[in-house]
Amino acid sequence: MTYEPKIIAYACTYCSYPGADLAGISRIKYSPNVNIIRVLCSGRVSPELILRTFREGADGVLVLGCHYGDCHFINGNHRTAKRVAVLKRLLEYAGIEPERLRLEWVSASEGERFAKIVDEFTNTVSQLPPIQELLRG
Amino acid sequence: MAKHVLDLATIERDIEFGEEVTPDLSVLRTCIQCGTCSASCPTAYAMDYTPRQLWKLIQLGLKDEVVNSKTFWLCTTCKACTVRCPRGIDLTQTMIMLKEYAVREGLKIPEGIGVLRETVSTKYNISGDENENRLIWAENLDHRPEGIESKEGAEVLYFVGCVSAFYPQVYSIPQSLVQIMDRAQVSFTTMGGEEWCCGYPLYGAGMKGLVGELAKHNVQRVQELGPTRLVATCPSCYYAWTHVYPEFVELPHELEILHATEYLARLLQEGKVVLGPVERVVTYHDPCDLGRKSGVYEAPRAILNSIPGLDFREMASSGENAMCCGGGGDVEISDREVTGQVGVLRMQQIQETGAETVVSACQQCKRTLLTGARQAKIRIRAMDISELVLESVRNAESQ
Amino acid sequence: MVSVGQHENIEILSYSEVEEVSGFVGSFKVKVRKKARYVNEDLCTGCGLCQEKCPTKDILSEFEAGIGTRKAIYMPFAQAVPRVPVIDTEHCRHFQKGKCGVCQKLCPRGAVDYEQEDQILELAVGTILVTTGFDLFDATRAPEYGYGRLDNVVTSLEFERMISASGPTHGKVLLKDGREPQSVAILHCIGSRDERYNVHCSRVCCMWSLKFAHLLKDVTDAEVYELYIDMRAFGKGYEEFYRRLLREGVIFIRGKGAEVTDVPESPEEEGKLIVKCEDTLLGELRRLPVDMVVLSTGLEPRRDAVQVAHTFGLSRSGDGFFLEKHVKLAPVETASDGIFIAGACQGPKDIPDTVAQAGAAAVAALAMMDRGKVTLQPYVAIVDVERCSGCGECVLACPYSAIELVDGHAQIEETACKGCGTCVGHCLSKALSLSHFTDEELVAEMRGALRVLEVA
Repeated sequence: MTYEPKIIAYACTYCSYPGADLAGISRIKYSPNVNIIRVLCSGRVSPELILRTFREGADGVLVLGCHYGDCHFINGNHRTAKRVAVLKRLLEYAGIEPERLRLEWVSASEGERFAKIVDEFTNTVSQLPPIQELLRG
Repeated sequence: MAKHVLDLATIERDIEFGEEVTPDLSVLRTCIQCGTCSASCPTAYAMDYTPRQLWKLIQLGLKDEVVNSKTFWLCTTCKACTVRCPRGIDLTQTMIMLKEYAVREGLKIPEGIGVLRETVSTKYNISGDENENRLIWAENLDHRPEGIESKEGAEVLYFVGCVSAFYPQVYSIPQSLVQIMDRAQVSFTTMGGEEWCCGYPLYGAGMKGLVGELAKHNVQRVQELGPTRLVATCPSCYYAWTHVYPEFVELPHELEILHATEYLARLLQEGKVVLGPVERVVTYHDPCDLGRKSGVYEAPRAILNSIPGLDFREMASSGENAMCCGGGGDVEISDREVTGQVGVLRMQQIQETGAETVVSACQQCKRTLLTGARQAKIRIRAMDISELVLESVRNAESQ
Repeated sequence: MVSVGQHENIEILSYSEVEEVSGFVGSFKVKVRKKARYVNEDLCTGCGLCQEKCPTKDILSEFEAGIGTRKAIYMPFAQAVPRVPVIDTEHCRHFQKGKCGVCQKLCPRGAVDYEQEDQILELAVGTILVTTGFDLFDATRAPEYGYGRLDNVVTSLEFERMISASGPTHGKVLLKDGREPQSVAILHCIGSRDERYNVHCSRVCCMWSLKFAHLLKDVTDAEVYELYIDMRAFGKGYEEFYRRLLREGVIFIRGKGAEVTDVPESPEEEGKLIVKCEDTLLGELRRLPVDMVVLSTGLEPRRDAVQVAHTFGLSRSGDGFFLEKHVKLAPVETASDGIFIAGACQGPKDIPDTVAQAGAAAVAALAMMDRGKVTLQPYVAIVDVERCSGCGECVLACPYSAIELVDGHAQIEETACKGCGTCVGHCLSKALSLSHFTDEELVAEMRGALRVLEVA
């Protein structure tokens, strides 16, 4: 697969977004295929929003939150984890590869880790067909 | 004395050289030139460039200076540098890769190393002797255990190793282990004349490629004999089986590979061996291939601490900080004098503890330490831990 | 500290710990446990008689870094504010065996109270400043230096107390056997700049190492060696001080001390500590026989930094120190409005920098107090009553218990709501939305983002 996948990442304000910021400040290179949408807490990201994101043409969706115990809003990330787990099974049932959705915890100091996740995920998604093919069929 | 001037502007620099001689050049570049490696190295005093200087030369791409130096041929691969490097650079692996580079490119290598290659490739052992003589040490046993050679279906395959098999100074090591296993009623065997050199001396000489043939043969033989576990008294054989072989051959899944100290500790725990009192003042020398390179520190100490009446004193330089005896990395073949000098230093450290006996778990260490003791006229015995355990077991029986 | 203690607007709660923090800027609730010191602060005059007469001595003093001793009833250090002692119940004979009681008998004010209990205080505050400091690297983690095993290998803090005129040796530098050292080696970067322990540079140790060398040259005749990798003399007057040390005849060796041993290899090394290093500037291996080794151990986050971070809702940077809002533009603020950090808890730093940060944090907090009002972020959850099915999922999901079921539908308590949106992510009826982060807004953003990626 040699197309350039389009990936949307939902990142929480207190941990993963500053982590991504740190990657930028540190001039760490990572795949340009990801665009980040900031939310206050990863808990804000509902299953419908993720599905809508695929429907609008995202080849992959990355949901980023705080590590367990570090969530600025106590346990929003716990909810997110459960939701994403269930949603992945639903995706599979619906014929969408569950690898298109990835959940990761990134702390505010993990700039390198953010870049690594983005690169890995871009690579994974690029091995799958573009989402447009699934949407059409 | 005229200063040797390196003119970076006119000397040809080989930028790709660095990629070939260290696992990750970007990590080697983080070297802050602190000198900890040089100061921790047992043989640095004999080198033309210190290890630290070598890393700088590699970074600068000054290939000729690097490959013509004595430095990496004097490396015993003891790993003291690597465990202390504040940048986490795998320096030992870099030394080995430098040897591999020299061999691969057909550059000048120490004469003894060339001979070693010849001997192991043709005779499948390091001494040049006939392989069928590998069990000569068993002839002196009071009772030659049944099935000691090539018995199928035995539980334990004892991989004896070239040094124990061909150097009479250390015949007592396999003799001791075998007698212990006999008393513990362990079903064991050896490969006898079918045992080939494990290949570690070639790996340590930068000839990793030649290990494949040896590995395949040894593993196939093991598969044919079908033991549950493989026990080695030699830490280098142990290291070769656990860390080098997987690159060349798939090991049988259920085969458990243990060093003799791990196996003896287990026998002790299972009550299969009864220890009697040994009234000796001893200290323990951690072999580099067993300690720093394989992470086995506790098993030998567990054994020593179980022997009643034993006055066991730790050296200041022990465990992860143990000094090398000087016997590793084929340095003895490249420069016997250096190995001897390091052995003397280590014996002097041993002498400081007040022990009358130094216990180790490696036949090469035992040989090197004995030589060092003789050269420095230090009256301290060097024993292998299997010999000590047999002594203890005999004392229990005579009670 | 005395002027702090005397200030009418400042209340010092010493020997106390923060157990819980809740609320938000302008309205924090802080639960503090004021631990029992078994001495009544209001009655005690700090005369020190109890400390003088206590029969239990020879307890290693924490303040003297373990090279001096204290009693079971003791004032932490001479300049402590408030000047009130505390009883160490683990060593006190009264608490352990029911004996003694001398301090209570002798106290002229009857201030000793064995029945005193911990007090729980609930404070309502508007701003919080966290300045919990650092811990030193534990040198026993690096056994190659012999700390704890060899006599006369000391850490920087131990040496600091030794050389202090008010310390246990009254400023005399002494070996364990009471002699003065003829030679001292100071080893830089122990536990810092090291992948095995702390990757960061601890910033202050080069300068304190130079200070030690200078003091040694001042009060002893010892030969002084400084073993360093880089000399970090970055501040005002620092380079000049380094130059002065060079003139004073301190021997500088560029090479990290690799090992300290007491095993001699020659007669000159008998009875000495030998420091092994490579003099990298000369390219020579060295064995330095010295009488004393000072390990300049690095600065680390405090051992309880993780718990403190959780209590105050602070993030930590990769090195474990507390995370500032912006490393250049907001070094004393944190992601949580109203909570500030200052000093070494934010990262290793020396006194001038700590004072500067403390001032900055104080002013930031004062500015808030002065305004009397806080600007809060307007994120709050909103219920569309018509859509709400009253299932109650959101009530369970909310981390702040800010939602109640009233008249069969969800109702948000706006002051308690932090705007995280977890309830919104949960709601199956799409009845909840988050102001400024509505689905419409996020979808619009997302669609725009996808268009940008397409063009790229």
